[in-house]
Amino acid sequence: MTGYWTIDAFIISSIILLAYPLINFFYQENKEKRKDVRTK
Amino acid sequence: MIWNWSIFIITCLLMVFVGFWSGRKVKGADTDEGYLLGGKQIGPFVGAAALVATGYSGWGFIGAPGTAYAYGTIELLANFLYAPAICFGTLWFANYLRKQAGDRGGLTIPEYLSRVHRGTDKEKRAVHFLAGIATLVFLTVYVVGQIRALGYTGSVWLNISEQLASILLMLVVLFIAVQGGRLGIAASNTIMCVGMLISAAIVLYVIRADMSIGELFQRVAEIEPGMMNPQTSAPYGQGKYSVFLVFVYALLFTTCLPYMSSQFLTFSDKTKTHKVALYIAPMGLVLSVIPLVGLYMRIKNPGLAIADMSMPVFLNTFVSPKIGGLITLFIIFAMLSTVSAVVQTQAAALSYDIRSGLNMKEPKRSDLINRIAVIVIGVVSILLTYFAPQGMLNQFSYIGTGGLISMLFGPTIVQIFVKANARTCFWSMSVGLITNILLNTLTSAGWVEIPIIGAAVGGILYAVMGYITNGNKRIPDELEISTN
Repeated sequence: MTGYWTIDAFIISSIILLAYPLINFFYQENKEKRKDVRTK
Repeated sequence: MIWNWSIFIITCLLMVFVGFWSGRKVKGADTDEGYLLGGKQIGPFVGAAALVATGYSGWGFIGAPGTAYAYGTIELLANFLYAPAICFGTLWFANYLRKQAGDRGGLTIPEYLSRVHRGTDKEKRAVHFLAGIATLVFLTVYVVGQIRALGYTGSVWLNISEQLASILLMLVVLFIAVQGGRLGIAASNTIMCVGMLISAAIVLYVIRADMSIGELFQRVAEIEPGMMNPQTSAPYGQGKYSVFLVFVYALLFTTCLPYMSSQFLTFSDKTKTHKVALYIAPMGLVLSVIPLVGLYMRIKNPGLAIADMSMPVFLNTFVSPKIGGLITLFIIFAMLSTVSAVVQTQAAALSYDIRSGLNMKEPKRSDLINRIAVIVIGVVSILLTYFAPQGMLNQFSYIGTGGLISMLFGPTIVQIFVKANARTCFWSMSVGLITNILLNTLTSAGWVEIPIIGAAVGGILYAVMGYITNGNKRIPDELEISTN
């Protein structure tokens, strides 16, 4: 923690901003891969 | 000045080329779909860059550093919140809107609303017309403000009059929009977005060369502790954490404003929205560092008479004239990218939505009508900017884009959960707008709260009236049977 709440909020939100789409991307890609394997 | 003119002319030539290239590249250029939706061939990177460039207007480069100079790190947080809002808005809603518009055949947001709500032909046309005319009126007022800012920045940069600068820059926008349609705008916005990202990187580099970001915060805290640990969210509200309402506002801005949400409809069928979101996140984060300029200037030049001058003074003082000229070009890009998306949406409302809403015959060359509408909108916007009475414009601008958000939240977002009819959609839009107007005229609520409250009222009415008219069901029997 930096001691400044606005900067703490900025840092935590930045981590969420970068991590959430990344996790979602891998989840969706894996889901599609599994779907492809099943249809083959 | 010769340098500024040189890079301006080179950029104009590049944009003219992009307009021509897009016009040739788009599939079905002479159809409404080809022109209004860029042939639905926009990929994840271009889709992401176009959304970010449109979402981050000139405000991010001039207004945000100015607000950071005056109020401190609250602006760093507020400006940043647009990034997750655009990213998550795309991730959560783009796919639904795109699929629904594809299945039902909607080329614009007003048409999409008329297609997804069941009802008689007359009721659907009423929805189409109301959404179209509101889009046209409120975006016209919004774009007038943008042109004014564009004219001012361009006049200082090129040393010409504000009017001439506005006309020159609007000519570039109109050329891209007329030649390349939606694809041209998306392609040019991608170039503009790259320029904006380069500017942000340069700004960060210049500040970091002088002091670390930690030291920057420490020195601001020494001057004015309240700027680092504010007890209110001023200018975004009086509560300590009211600033987080900016995220809600920006989420509504991304998903409900036609010039943003219509971009979801342009994505190619192969474009995956989770890939678009993956590009948006880092782009948004990089652009979020711009308000640091305001904090840096607070240390270096605490006596600025006008806070909004912090970026221009920063460029004149701490950056070489050539790099400063280049960054100003990118700031003008940021404004142009928003203006171009807005102008195209206005033109679609004029040439397509209002025509369809009034049940007028489809012209033989609809693409030609769309292109003429772009020119008409451009000319009218310039005339309004410099000749309309400011008082009249102010009346509308208070409502502006916030009014559109209040109107369209129910039919766009609540519709995902409750499948209401066209009559409910019409009343939700009307009540959302009226609430917004009343809050603007009778209360002292701010520009962040008013659209949120208006959207909540319109949305609740949509959900309740929709539920009742569906026979106390979220989804009426007739729809459940047809989907089964």
